[in-house]
Amino acid sequence: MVYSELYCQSNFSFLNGASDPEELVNTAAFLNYQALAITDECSVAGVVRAHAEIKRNRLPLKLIIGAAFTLAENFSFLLLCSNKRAYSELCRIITNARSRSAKGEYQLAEWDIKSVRHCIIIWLPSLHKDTDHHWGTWLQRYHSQRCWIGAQRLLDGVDHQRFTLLTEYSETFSFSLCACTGVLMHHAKRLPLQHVMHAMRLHTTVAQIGKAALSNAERTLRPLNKLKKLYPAGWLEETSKIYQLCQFSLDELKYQYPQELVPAGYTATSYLRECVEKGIKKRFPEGLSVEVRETIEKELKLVKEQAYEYFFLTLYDIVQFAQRQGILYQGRGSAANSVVCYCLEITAVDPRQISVLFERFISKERDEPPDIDVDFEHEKREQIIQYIYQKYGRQRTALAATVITFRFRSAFREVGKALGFAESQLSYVLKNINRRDKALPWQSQLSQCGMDPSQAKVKQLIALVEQIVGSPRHLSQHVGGFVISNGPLHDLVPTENTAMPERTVIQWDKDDLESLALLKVDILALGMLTAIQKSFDLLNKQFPHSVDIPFITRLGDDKQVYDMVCKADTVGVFQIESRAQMTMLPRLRPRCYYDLVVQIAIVRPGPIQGEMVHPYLRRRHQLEPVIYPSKEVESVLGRTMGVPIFQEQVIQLAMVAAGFSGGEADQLRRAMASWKKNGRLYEFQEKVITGMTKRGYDKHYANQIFEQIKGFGGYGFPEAHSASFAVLAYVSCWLKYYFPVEFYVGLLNSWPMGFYTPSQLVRDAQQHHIKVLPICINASAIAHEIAYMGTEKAIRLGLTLVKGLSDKGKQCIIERRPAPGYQSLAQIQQLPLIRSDLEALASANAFHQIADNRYQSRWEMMDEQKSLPLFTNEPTQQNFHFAPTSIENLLEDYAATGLSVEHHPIALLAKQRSLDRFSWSNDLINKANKSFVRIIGCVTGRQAPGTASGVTFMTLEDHTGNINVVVWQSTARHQQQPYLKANILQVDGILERSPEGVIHVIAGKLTDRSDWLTKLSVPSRDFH
Amino acid sequence: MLWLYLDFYQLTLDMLAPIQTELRVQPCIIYRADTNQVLQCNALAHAAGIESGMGMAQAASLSGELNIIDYKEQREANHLTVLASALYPLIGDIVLAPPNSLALRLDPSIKYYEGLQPLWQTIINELTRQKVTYRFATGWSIESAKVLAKAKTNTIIAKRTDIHHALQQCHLKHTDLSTKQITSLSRVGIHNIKSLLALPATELGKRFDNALISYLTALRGEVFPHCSYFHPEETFSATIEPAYEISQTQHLIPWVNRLLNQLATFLRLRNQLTASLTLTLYFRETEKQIYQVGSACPLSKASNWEPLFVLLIEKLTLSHPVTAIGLCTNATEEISDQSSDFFSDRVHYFAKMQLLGRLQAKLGASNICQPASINDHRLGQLAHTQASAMLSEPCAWQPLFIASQPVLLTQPSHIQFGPVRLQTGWWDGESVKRDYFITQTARGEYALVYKSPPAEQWYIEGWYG
Repeated sequence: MVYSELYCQSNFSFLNGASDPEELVNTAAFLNYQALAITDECSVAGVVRAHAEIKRNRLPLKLIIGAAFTLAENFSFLLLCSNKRAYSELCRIITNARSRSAKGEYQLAEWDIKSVRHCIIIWLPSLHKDTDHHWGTWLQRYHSQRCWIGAQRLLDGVDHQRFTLLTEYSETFSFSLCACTGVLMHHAKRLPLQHVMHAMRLHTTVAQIGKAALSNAERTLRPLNKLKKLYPAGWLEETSKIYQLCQFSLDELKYQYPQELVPAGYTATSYLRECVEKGIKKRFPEGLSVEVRETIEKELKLVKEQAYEYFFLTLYDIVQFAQRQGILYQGRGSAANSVVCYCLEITAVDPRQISVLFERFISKERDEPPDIDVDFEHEKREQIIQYIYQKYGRQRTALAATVITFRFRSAFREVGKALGFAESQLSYVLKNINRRDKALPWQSQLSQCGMDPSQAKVKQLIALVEQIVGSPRHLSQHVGGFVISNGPLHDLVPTENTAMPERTVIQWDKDDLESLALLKVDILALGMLTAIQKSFDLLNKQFPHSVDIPFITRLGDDKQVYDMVCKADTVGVFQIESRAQMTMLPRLRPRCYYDLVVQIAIVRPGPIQGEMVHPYLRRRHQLEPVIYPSKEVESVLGRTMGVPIFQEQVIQLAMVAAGFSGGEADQLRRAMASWKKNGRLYEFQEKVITGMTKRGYDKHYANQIFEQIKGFGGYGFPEAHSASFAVLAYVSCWLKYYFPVEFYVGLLNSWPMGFYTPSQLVRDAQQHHIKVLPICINASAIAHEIAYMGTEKAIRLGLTLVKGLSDKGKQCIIERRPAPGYQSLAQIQQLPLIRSDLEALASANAFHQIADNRYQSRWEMMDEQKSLPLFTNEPTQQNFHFAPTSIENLLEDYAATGLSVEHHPIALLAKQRSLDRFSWSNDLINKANKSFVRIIGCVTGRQAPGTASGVTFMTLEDHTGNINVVVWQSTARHQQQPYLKANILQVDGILERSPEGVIHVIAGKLTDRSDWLTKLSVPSRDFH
Repeated sequence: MLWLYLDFYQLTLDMLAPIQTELRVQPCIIYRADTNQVLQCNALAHAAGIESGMGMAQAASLSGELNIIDYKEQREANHLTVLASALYPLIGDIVLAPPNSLALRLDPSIKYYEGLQPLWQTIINELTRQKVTYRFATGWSIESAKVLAKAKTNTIIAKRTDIHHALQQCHLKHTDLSTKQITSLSRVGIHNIKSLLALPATELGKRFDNALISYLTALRGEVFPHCSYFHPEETFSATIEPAYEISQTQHLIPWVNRLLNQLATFLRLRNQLTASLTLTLYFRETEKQIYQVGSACPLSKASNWEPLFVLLIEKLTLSHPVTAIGLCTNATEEISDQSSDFFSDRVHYFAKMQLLGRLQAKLGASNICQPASINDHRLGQLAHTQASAMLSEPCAWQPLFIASQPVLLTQPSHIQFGPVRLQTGWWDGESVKRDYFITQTARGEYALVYKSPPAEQWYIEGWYG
């Protein structure tokens, strides 16, 4: 007996299907099905995974592409793709149905189905005689030749009635009957999960679904001998006929990039070569070395063989547009491994500076599209997106999808609710579970939170949460992955609306695109590019010579810039600004560009968990010898002193030391990228270890390498990626060192971005002896600006910092500002500004030139009569006698602008109280190592990284700088109130200075001093 | 006028603490999920650093063994009515400020108590009896007393100058002004009532709406906004929601007792009796269950009613945990000589009620039921569920009579219909995995039978009519 299951929904029929496409095809093949149709509801989102799984495991199973639909109440059916034209038809129908509705929904029109010419229709009658007769007649009229009736036998008590009716319909409408199940689970054990998903869909509990729930587990893939007992033989044979008709495979999808980019008279290859040659002249004005020329030729040959020319040309066109618009961009990802990308000005990393691993970029063996990510200025990325939409049109352009899956927290909450746990109990448990505790998994922590794991209900919760984590929840849009095609995209894949207007998203994510070898272009946004461009703009106004990234990199490594970096004076610069990076800088002491590449990659969970940091530092400072177990390993790890720092190094190690082929090595890379999700990395464990031991490496070393591979899983940086980031890190450091005013202004004007708040950036500028001028109604522009005080440059804060001031208000103030400036509050009240704008300006003390009491200014601005012409000259009542104290001024500064240029909270406290026994940040350098210190500061950061086993790093800020405080877990546990609640914190502790001069205070006693300055709200970056 | 404002700031805790002992030995908070705020916390939670207004994350991080009780506004409001009813005999002019405050107008009653202090002492005595914690203050209007109470003044003063002085010290956050208005005022340096009242009303009028001006005049005692006085209900109906679900019947008794005490107070104040009460048990997942408890002769005292309820409760089996308990009177009558007249027509009614009450109490309410279908695939559930629970349309193959326990099929039968496979109920410990068939026995009876793996025996689940 042969059988094809024609009606099967995966978990991409969200909150209905309880098995993933991979499980379904594996089980169907195991049960000897001929074919399995994945028919998710108005979606083909799961089919690529099924297709890839069949290919990966070489399963003897045909995948039929289809979808299930409901057109009206009591009218549901399946559409199955017989051939490529039917597939395009299905994509068009789904696209149309989705485009009529909001995200996540669909609406079919009768016309959609009337116009079907190629798809096979399986009608699923509702067993309501009246409506079935109506729709049966309708189908007979339009689709008498391509319609079947799908008969389900579900042992639910209505089989008899169902069979009788369906046989009657078959005779009445002359449609053949075929057996089908309506599979929702690959195995009966998924029934509880299906019930839970059903309850989630209805926002109720499993106990409350009642008879609407599945009454048994028959909607599963059932063995053939069982099916034989359940259905008449003819109905089963009919599935085989349909199987014969369905000849379409996703392998047939051929994708064409836009052709219009190639000018007349050129082929894509010749035009790409011409662009590259043009780029060579620009990138290598001194001429090419033989080695680089060879690499370029090798790359171009491979590009031609793989027919990727259009892909490169599309990107070239986009970056050319960015150049014309003066938008700063930089390619990153594996593209930085390509010299062709460098010549096309897609990337900025000179291949001579890093070890280019072209196989990482394009590999003929793995036959997968290259990965090119391009970052653009975050404020101007929309221009690039609009350019793409305008050039190619919405029909040919869409964003890739991102499949949002159940994470632990959402799974725990939603499954818990479905099982009937109280929401407050679930919230409490979630708040108390420490997912970073490696010693105690979350399941074991439940008893501490009042959930008894021996109770049946809690056991069910644990099992179901484990099952559902990783299942898709809904589709979202990728941050910037575009698919652009030559013809309408809906011939290739359905598109649907996104939550953002005027955007469409395809139903496949980046892994699906990769599986089908479809190309996507990543258009990403990066705040630092905006900041750098704004700094360049300020410089280019002052100097005749244009300053840009190539200009700075051509100057070579600058000793003074690296001196600054080694002192960890890196607040605001790119990547090496975080606290962990700043602590590492004096230890690693970067002195050249490549050191920065290492620095960026080393402070990552991969190298930290793989315990590679200390060996690298010891070897770098010649405290231990650099040894290699073999020449091959030396060739891979030579540039990082025998310690793997970059992701591709561990891949190369797998190749040279464990004998992986290029393709296998790439499979390893993909397994590393997703090992947290599916754990496929373990499939490689034996191969790595036996491969290495066979080649003479000792087992301990082999195990260590595998542990390092695991450490990199999901967290490692590829060298090329780090190299691209290092360029921006260096450029931002260079700007900070030579043009700090321009740097800070650029940075402040690009906010929100980066690690630091404007308050911290302003404080850092002041500590670099830069004068920061407050917001002024007569002097400030909208943005922050450079102000000149004689020859000295200062920063003038802009109106943009005033909280609650509308954009229209800012414009109005600037446009109507008289030449001598505003002279009185009455004059300002005559401006067409809304009252909240006036009040916001008063509280920000923007009127300080014309009124010295911000309370009084605001009081006057609150009087709406004053804005009426009749009352303009009305004298102000002298009955308001409130004036702010210096502390109130400080509080108002923070409330109105988020920072204070005049006062620091700690400086004010020092004036008010005797704080002689305290040490300030800038005193600590003079204190002896291991001495007792008492410090106080505003808490600006609390971080408990997963790699730091319970230690919290706190940052305290006083008026002289930042202090790094280390709080051990036991200290935190015993002093939880000040540890968690303090805004202003006193720490009594021991000063610890590393040999490189990095100072930490190890907290002993924590005292909350927030009551010394109530109402102060200093933004703190807690536990990010 | 002189108003007393009573702010029962931890009413839920006070209400639950006498019965739920864990509230006295463990840190405990009353938590409002929609605003993610801790609203009330007991002394132990306070000691751990937890304060009202905190979010759950912070509270949970401060105490690892925190007891969390969901805040329910209605629960507090219900209890507030109980408190108002208790105070009503002492003082007639009571205004409810739900969910947790009362305003009492004192000036008309002072003369009956021969002074403010004796009156206040009487009120204290009743509040002590009710075991509630409160903040209080007096003022010349409800608004002024409320501000002083919220500011934790906790003084009984009657002199206008004293009230005026105390009010001046209060922060704006204790007033009924909106957060927006308070922020607006603090941004110009006005943080307390003294500063606010120092500003001329005309200047404030230019900057704020009429509602603020009206409120200030009420605060000053210049106008008295209309208020509705509390009048006790005509019939008794009270519901109590314990903080935790109750799954053992004996734990119901203290809560029922509390309700009976409330009933006794209610009846005593009205000089009434009742012969029939309705006890309602509420469940989270299933429909409520209702029990009638009747007495042969009308009663009022809790101590008289208690044995009947104990009898009922002892026989109960709770299929699901109880979330709330309700008690209401069906009919009341005045205490008079006629009430004990057993020779009028009412005797039959009482006899019936008495019989029913006794039967229910002795046999259990579940033994008195009527045909129904429930919204559950499992037919067996019908045998254990109250008629009122989750009613739904019966499925086509449901028999008319369901056996309370499956009966072994001993006689030869012929399968007429089936199989119908049931595999469900994994969530409540009554998991079912069976194939059902309709069979006809040799005697011509149609029965619903099943064979449940791994047993090889066939069982009858029910019969068709």
